[in-house]
Amino acid sequence: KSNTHGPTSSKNRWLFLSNACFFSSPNRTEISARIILPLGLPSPELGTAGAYSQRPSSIMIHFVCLISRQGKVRLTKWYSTYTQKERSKAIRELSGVILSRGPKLCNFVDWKGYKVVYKRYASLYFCMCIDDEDNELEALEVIHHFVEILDRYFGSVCELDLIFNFHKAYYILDELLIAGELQESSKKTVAKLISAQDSLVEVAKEEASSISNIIAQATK
Amino acid sequence: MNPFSSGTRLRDMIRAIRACKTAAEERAVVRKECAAIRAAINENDQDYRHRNLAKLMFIHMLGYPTHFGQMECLKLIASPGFPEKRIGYLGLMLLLDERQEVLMLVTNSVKQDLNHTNQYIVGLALCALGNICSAEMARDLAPEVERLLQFRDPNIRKKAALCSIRIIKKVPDLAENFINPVAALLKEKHHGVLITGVQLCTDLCKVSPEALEYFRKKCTDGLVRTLRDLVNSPYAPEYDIAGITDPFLHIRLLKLLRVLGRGDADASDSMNDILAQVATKTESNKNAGNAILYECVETIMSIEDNGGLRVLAINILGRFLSNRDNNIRYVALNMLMRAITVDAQAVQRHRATILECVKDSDASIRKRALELVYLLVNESNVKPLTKELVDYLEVSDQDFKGDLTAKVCSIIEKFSPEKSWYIDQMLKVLTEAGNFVKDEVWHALVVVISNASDLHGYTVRALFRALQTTAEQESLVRVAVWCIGEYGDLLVSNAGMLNVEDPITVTESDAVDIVESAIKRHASDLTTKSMALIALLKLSSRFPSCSGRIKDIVVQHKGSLVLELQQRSLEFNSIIEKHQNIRSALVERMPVLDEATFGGRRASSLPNTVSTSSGTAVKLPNGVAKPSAAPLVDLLDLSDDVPAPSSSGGDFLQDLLGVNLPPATQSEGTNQTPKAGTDVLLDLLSIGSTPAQDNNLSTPDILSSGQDNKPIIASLDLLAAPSNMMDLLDGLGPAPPKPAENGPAYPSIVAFESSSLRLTFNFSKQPGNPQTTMISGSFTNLSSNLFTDFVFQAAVPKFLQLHLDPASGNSLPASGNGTITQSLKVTNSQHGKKPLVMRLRIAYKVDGKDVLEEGQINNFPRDL
Repeated sequence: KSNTHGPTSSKNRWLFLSNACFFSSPNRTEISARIILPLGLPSPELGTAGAYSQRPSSIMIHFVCLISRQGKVRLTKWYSTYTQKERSKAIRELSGVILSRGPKLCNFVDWKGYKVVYKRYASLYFCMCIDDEDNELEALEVIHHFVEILDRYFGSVCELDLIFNFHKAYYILDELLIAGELQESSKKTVAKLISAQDSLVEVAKEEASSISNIIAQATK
Repeated sequence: MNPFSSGTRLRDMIRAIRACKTAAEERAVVRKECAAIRAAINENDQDYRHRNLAKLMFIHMLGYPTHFGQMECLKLIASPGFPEKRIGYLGLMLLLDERQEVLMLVTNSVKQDLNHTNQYIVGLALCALGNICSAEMARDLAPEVERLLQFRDPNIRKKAALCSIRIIKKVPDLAENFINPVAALLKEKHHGVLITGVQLCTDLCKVSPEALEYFRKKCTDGLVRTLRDLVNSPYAPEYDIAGITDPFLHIRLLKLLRVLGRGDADASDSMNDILAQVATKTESNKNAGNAILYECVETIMSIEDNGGLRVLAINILGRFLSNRDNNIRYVALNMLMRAITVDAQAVQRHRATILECVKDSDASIRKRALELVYLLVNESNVKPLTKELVDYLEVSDQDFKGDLTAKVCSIIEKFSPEKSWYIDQMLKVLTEAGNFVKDEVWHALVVVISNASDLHGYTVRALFRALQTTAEQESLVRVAVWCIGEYGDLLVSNAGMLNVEDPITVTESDAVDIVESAIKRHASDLTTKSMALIALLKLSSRFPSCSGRIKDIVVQHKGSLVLELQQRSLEFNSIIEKHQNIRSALVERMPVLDEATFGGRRASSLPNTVSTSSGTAVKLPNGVAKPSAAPLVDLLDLSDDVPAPSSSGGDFLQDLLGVNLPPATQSEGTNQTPKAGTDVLLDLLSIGSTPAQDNNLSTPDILSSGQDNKPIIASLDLLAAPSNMMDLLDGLGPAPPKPAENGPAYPSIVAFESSSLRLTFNFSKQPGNPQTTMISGSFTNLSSNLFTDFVFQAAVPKFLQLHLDPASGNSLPASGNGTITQSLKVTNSQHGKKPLVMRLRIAYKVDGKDVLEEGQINNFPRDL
């Protein structure tokens, strides 16, 4: 079930109490605990405090993950800092929520004060976690952009391509996003850069094999 | 060659893993591969290092531990060839994160690669740095990255720009170094560079006010021009998405303009035209266009007011809201929630549509819509809105009922215009979703009922009717049982009949029947059963004719395995049997529960509410800080898990008990410190000495609630010997007030001081309660500006409990001409072992600008 609390796994918890009357919950006589700050993560509770106020500098995409319909992880990339434990917990929770959603529903789910934008392509769910105030529609476009680039690279991409060539998928993602921000809006440029680097690898391989050929022949 | 090295290719390993039919099989394959990889690592195998790392990454993705491969990444990065480096950097980003010490070892290699002649290697290093660099690395490598912002190849420039974003987020001090190079990036034509440059610029403006000032002056016009050129650009296949040229660039430019225009009339003015053009010309039939419109609306709402544009923006939101696409409606709800601070009237116009969204089949949309409705409620529309929501409660999904009930209850409590309406609505909620109603909500309802003396008859009859039709809702049963116990006579006599109600005939035995059925219900929990027993005891006095039957019911529980029930049963039995002379006095109606503390605090939100009805646009329509309200409720839910005896739950209990104890004793009682047992008992019983109450009366009332309160059980023990009880109670006159001792004195401290604000703390202790410290804080404004909307927040670690009273005000006059005082109460559960420590967060507005100050207080006197 979706739940909007911040990650609570951090050991060092601080409970913030406030005196402000407009903060007080209507059904309690007392002002009570309000903010539990996960250390090291931007606090969504604070971020939403002022409607159009200056928000703390935030990352656009906190993480990207690809989950298959069976709940298997096909790719994950973390741009904010999460411990291994938090990572696997996040993936577990999200796959539970997202995989169980019906086909006609909207592509956004609230998750711990963040929003996860997901889109299903055949058997794969592409998910991106963004801040509560970020542009969900744009995140959808970024996902689609990524898929189109994958599609071009692999030639009508399917899940198996991404399983056996998972590193290639990562390379492509790295040409698209850095530090959780979009890097390139041209599919052509990404494709060009990837193929240039792939050919560098090919050249190196050929050289290696030719050298070993030479050595092999020389030692004959 | 080592014997373990299977020499399988990556592809073969993946195939083998995929072929596994069970998890155990998979583990076995992975174990074998990991063993081989470890062996290869130990042998320092060169040839297959990159293949092994690739395998490890796959294994990592499956969720197995792979830390042993971390050093391999470093070795690959340090090797000269591009293929090795490429996989090495990938492994670095996947297997490590910024907190690992190993990362420091890579700094030097990254530095060399940033200066490499091969631009692709430079790109790899930049990418890794941008994704995982720590603050230390950011400091070390910032000069390299800064230089690369001017690299000849645009693809490196764009990577360097994004890498800089990470750097300034990790080390905001470095921001100023980037201002000049970024100004150059903003003039570029290459879309990648422009997108990343604009993004970097936005982030710079967020961390550095100087940067904001600089870019606002120098770049606003240029950016407006860039956006105009982009909007009017002809078809460009490379960047085209759904007929729009590079929506990503559109969005980033709009974001930056938002930052530049906010709070600056001139800058806002210069972007008005282009915003109007984007808002009117953008095609809204595809997602890309809507994404741009979204951003445009956000920008219009954020920058300085221009009436015409705002109308345009609100209209776009209206269109979004009526869109058939769920995504667009979700987004619209979200944005309306923010727009409410800007133009509440306009949002109110869409109320009907929003209310429909509460009933949507999509949980995400429902949740947002409910939050929005909650913000839309005010005195004038509370009745129809509540009606809609309560009606919907009947048919809503089970998993949505919790949220919905909490919101409805909160709305009813906050905006109820009169008591009868409040009681009516709460009864409806209890009937529909009583199982989702939180304890404090029905506690509050009981308090209100007890105060509405003219409605007692009406309420008890309505509850009786409700209970007859449905007995599944736990909290409905509780409230009904309580009311029947208290006002059972009114139920039978039909006294205080209101015009609106139909008369009903209830006999005395009907009333007893319904309470009996509450005890017999299997679903009833301990609290309900205990309450029912009390109700029966009370009825035995109100309906003497049923006394014998009640005795039989009560006696049935004398063998109960639950101590509480057994005890009540035995005690009540003896009261009914042996003490008929005092019974009627003992079980008289509860004295009116003290609404003052409860009502007083609730009223604290009222001034705001009143001020909003005068209708200024910026004022919030219901006196709640908009977006915070929603998450807040969730946060409060959280606090339920944390044992916080001094928090509201406990107080309600105390209120219910009618106990008027000084706060210190309260926490002592609820803390259940063993030694306090007897004292508390004395105190608990001494409440009888307050004028309104009679000694004998209060005893059963104490019994009526809170079976987990030790002192009460202690008092039950006393009651167990009925003959002693009378003496004991009689012997208890008003507890003599303890002689006031002066606790040790503590020096005052300056808890927090910044250039604009000082906070001093004075301490005092209540005698006999060394754990609790009363702190009186006073804020002094050291600057020459008035602070408004002053909000003080404090946090303590778990071993402390913190209680904040309302502050004396929320504005702080300039130059120390006045103070805000704030009293706090801290209870240190580790008194004598750990000193106090506290974190502060202070938010206020200066000239309409938000300021946030934070700090930690470590200089508390030691033995607090």
